[in-house]
Amino acid sequence: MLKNYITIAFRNLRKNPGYSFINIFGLAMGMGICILILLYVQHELSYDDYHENSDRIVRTSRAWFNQDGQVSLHLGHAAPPFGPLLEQDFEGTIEEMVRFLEISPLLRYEENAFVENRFFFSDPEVFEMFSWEMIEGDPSTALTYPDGLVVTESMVKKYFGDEDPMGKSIEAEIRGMNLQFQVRGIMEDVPENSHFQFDFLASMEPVVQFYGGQEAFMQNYGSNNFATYLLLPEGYDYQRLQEQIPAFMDRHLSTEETHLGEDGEPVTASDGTMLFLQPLTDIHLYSNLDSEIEANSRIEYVYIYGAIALFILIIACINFMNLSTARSVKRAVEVGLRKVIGANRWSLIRQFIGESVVMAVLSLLFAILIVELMLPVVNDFINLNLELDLLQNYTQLFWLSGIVLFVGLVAGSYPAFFLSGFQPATVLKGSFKAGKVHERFRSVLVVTQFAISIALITCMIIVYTQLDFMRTKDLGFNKENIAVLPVSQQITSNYENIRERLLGHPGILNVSVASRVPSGRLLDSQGTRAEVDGELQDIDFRIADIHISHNFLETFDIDLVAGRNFDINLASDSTEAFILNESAVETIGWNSPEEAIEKQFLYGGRRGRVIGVVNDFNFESLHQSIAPIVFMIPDDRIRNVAVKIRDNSREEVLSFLEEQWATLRPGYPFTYSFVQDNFDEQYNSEERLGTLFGFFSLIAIIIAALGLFGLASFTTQQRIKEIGIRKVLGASISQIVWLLSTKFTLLVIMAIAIATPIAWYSMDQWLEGFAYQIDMPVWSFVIAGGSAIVIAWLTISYQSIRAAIVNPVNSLRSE
Amino acid sequence: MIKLKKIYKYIDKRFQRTFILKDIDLEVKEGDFITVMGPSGAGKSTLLNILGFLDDASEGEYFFLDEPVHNLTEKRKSDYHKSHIGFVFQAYHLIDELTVYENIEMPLLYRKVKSKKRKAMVAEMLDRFNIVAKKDLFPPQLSGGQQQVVGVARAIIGSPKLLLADEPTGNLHSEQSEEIMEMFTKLNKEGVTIIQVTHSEKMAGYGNRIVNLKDGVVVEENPYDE
Repeated sequence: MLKNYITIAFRNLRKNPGYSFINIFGLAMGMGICILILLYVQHELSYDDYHENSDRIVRTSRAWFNQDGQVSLHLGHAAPPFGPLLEQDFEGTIEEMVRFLEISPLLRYEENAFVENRFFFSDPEVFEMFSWEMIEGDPSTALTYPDGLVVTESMVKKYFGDEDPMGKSIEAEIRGMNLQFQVRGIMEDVPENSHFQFDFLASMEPVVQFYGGQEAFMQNYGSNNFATYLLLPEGYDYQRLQEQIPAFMDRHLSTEETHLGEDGEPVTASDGTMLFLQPLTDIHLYSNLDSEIEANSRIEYVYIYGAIALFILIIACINFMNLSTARSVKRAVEVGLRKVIGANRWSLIRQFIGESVVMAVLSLLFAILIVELMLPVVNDFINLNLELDLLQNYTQLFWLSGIVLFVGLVAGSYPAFFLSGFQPATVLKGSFKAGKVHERFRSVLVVTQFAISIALITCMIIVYTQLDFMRTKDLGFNKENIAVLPVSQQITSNYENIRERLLGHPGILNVSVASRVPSGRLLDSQGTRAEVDGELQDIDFRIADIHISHNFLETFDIDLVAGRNFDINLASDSTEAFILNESAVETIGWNSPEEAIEKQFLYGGRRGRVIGVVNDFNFESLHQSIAPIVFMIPDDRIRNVAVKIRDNSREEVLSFLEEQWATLRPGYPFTYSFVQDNFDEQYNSEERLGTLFGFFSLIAIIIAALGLFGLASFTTQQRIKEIGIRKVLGASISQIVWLLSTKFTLLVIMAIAIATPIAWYSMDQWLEGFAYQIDMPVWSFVIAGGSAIVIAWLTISYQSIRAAIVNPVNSLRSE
Repeated sequence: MIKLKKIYKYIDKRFQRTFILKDIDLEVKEGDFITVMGPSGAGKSTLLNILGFLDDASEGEYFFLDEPVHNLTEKRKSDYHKSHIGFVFQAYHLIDELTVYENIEMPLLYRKVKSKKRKAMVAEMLDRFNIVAKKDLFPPQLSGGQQQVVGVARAIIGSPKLLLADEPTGNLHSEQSEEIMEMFTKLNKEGVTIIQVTHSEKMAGYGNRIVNLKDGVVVEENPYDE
C-alpha cells in the first residue's frame, strides 16, 4: 500500500512539473532559509558552552551608582584586587579565580614583528577553569613562569612557520618597555563561539610589576581593566554568592568611599559601587555593559531571527497548502474512488499527509543544496564559519527532522482533512466544484503570506531610514576628514614641536591630542565638586573627563557657547581650567552656560575654575544620549593624535603621516582610522539587521509571489468558461483582466491592513533602543504596501492576460 | 439480499421540501440482474448511491444481507465496500496516474491481500478480460471501451456479491457497450447480483428485471414481464 501511495505521489509530481516546481522550490527555499537562520541561532546559543565547567563559571562586573541609585557606569571588568579578595573571603565557595588583562603589544620574533590586539595576561589557573585544549606544554605550569607565554596554533604559523616554537623567546614592547617571553605552551585556536578570542596568553607576573609591585597592585581599585572569572562548586547557585557581595564591598572599600548621604545617613561603599556576577554562558547574549572584551550580541536578535525563520517557513507551508487545495478538484475523483473501494477517511488522511511529508523530504534535499551553496556567502557576511554537518551534529539532524515533520504535518494537514472529506457520490458524478469555504480559507492563507512579507519590507525600510539618520545626523561637531593615530612616548614628550612639524604640511589643517576622541566611549571619570549657590557641593552625577590639548575644540569644530577656549599662553590653563559641555552645566544645577563661567570646580585632585562651556555634541554613538563631559589639559592618559586634513588631500597627507610615524613610533606598523568611519562602524549591527531584513523580505516576497502565481493560474483555469462567456457577450480584454485582478488586490489590501499595525508596534519597540530616533516614517508603510500590490499585480497579470486573450471558441467548446 | 422499505430522499430548502425519492419499496434477491430506468432527474443515481452506501436515505429502512444499513458505522460500511460491493461508473474513474495493472490491484491493497496472492489475482483478471498486453499502459492511452473493461475488472477483482453500475455504457459506442453487457451477463451467471442504471432500452434487455422510476416514484416494475 505504501508503494502505491509513493507511486501515485511521484507520478503526480511528474505529471504537473510546473506545480511541482513551485511547490518543491518554494518549500525548499523556505526550508533552506530556515536552516540557515537556525544554524546561526544555534551558534549564538552555543557561546561558551564548550567549557566543561561552563555552568559553574561566573564573570565579575563592576557598577557605580549615582546618589539616586541609578547605575552611572557598569563595566564588564573589575579592578585587580577584587579577584584575589573574593577568593580569599569566600574560600571553599570560589574554587578558582582567573583575571585577564588585554593589551596590544608589538611582538617580535626574529624578523617577524606585528602589533597584536588579542594578547592577554592571565592568571595561571586559566586552563583549570576553562577547557581550552593545550597541544604542547604543561597547562598547569605554563603560566606560572614569570616569562611564560602560551600561543595559539595559528600564531605559531604566523611567527614560527615550521619551526618548533617551544622554548623560543618572543620580545614584546609594551608601553615603552621591552619584555622577553618564552613560549611555554601551544594551544588550539579559541573556538568561534567564545565571548572573547585571544591569540596569546601571558603570565600575570609582568603586570604586577607595571602596577608597582604586589602591594600597589592589590591597592589599585581604580584600574578596572581586569576581566575577572570565578569557578563555583557544582550545583551552586551564584545568586547565593551575589547576596554576600555588598558586605564584601563594605568590608574592603569602607574607609575610602564612605561619605555622608543627603539626609546625613552614612552611605556605605556598596551604595556607591558594586560587583555583579554573570554566568559565563549568559555573557554573549545578555551582557551589553559599558566595557566588554568584545562586543556581544543580544538575545532580542536571536528572537527576531528565530521569528523570521518561522515566518518564512510558514509562508512556504502556506504555498503548499494553497496549491494542494487548489488542485484538489483534480484529486477529488481519486478520493471518491478510493472511498468506494473501501478506504476510510483515516487512511486517506494518512495518504495525503504522507504525500506532503515526502514532498517535504524532497524539498529538504534541495534545501540542503541551497544551504550548502549559500553558506560561504552567509559566512562571509556574518564573519563566522557556520557549517551544516549532519553526520556528526545530532542537534542539527534533530532540527532538520523537526522542520520536515513540521512542514509535512502543517502543510499536509489542511489538504488531507479537506480532501478526505469529499463525498464520493458528489465527486464521482463529475459535477464537483470546490466549495466556498475552501475559497475563503485560501484567501486567509494568501493574506497571511502577504502580511508577513509586507511587515518585513516595512521593517527593512525603517531600519535603513534609522541607519541613514544616524549616519547623516549633525553630531554637533565636524566629524569629516579627521584621522586618528596612536600616540607614542616621543609625541607626548615633545608635542608642541611635533605639532608644528606636522602643520608644516599644506594638507594638514590642525593637530591635537586627546585621551579619547569622538566615536569612543566615555569611560573615565572622577569625583566632582562644584560651586553652587556660593558654596562647594558634591556632585553626585558622573561627569566623564577627556584630557585634551589646546587645539582640540578647533580640530573638531566644537562650538563654545560661553566663556573662552584654553589659551596656550596662559600657563594656569594647563593646571586649573575646565571646559564643560551644556549637559554638565545642567546636571550641576547652573541655570545657564554664562552662569557657569568662573565658578569654582574640583575634579579628582585638580582644583580650578570653569572657563568655558561648549555646546552638547554627540561624543558617543547615537545609541547613547549626551553625557556630561569635562575637558581639561593634563598631558597624562593621552592616547590619540587627531589630524584634521584638508579636503582632497587625504592620500598625500596619509603618506606624509606614515613617514612621520615611522620615526615617531619606530618599529610599529602604521595604523590610523577616520572618525567618520569609526562612527559608521558603531552601527554595524543595525546595518546587518537591515541587510538581513532586506534579504529575508526578498525571499518571503518571492515565495509568496510564487504561491500567488500558482493560485492565480488555478483560479483562472476554473473561470475559463466564465471568461469565454463574458467575451462572447462583449467584454474587453482589459475588463477581463480587471475582473481577475480585483479579488487578489483586495486580499493584498487586507494584508496591508494587518501588517501595518504589527510592523508599527515592533519597530516602535526597536527604535526605543536609540537615544536619537527617527519619527516613524509613514511613507515606509506606503512603499511597502504599494510594492506588494505591484508585485501581486505583476504576478497575476501573466495568468489573467493569458486567460483574457484566449479565443472564447476554444474555452467554450465542450468535450 | 437487499430490502428497501419506504425509502424517502429529500432536500429541505427554506420552506420547500424537494423529493428525490418517494416511498421506494424494493427487494433484490441474490443473482438478480436489475436495470433501473427512467428519465433524467428521476432519482436513478440517487437510488444507486443509497444502495451502494454512498448516500443515506432521509427516511425508511434499508437491509443489506439482513443487516440494517441505516445503523451501520462508517467502518462497517467501508468493510462492505471492500468485500461485498463493486462499482462501475459511466466516466470509468480510473486513476490516471496508475497503470492498468495498478488500477486493478488497488482494491486488493485496501483489503490487505498479500503481495503474491495479489499478483495471481490481478494476472487472472488481466487474462480473463484479455488485457494482458495493456497492463503497463496508463488509462489515457486506452480507448473508452478498454477503460471500462479495466473499470469492470477493478470492480469485480474483490469478488463482490453486488455490482452497482451507473450508466456503464453511457460513454461507449454500441459495439463496446455490447461487449460490456455480455461481460455483465456472464458475471451474473456466475452468481454476482447486478444493479445497473441506464437510459438505453437495449442495454436494459440484458437484465432480468426492470425498475422504472419517474419523479422519484417506482412506476412500473418489469414492464417486459407480461
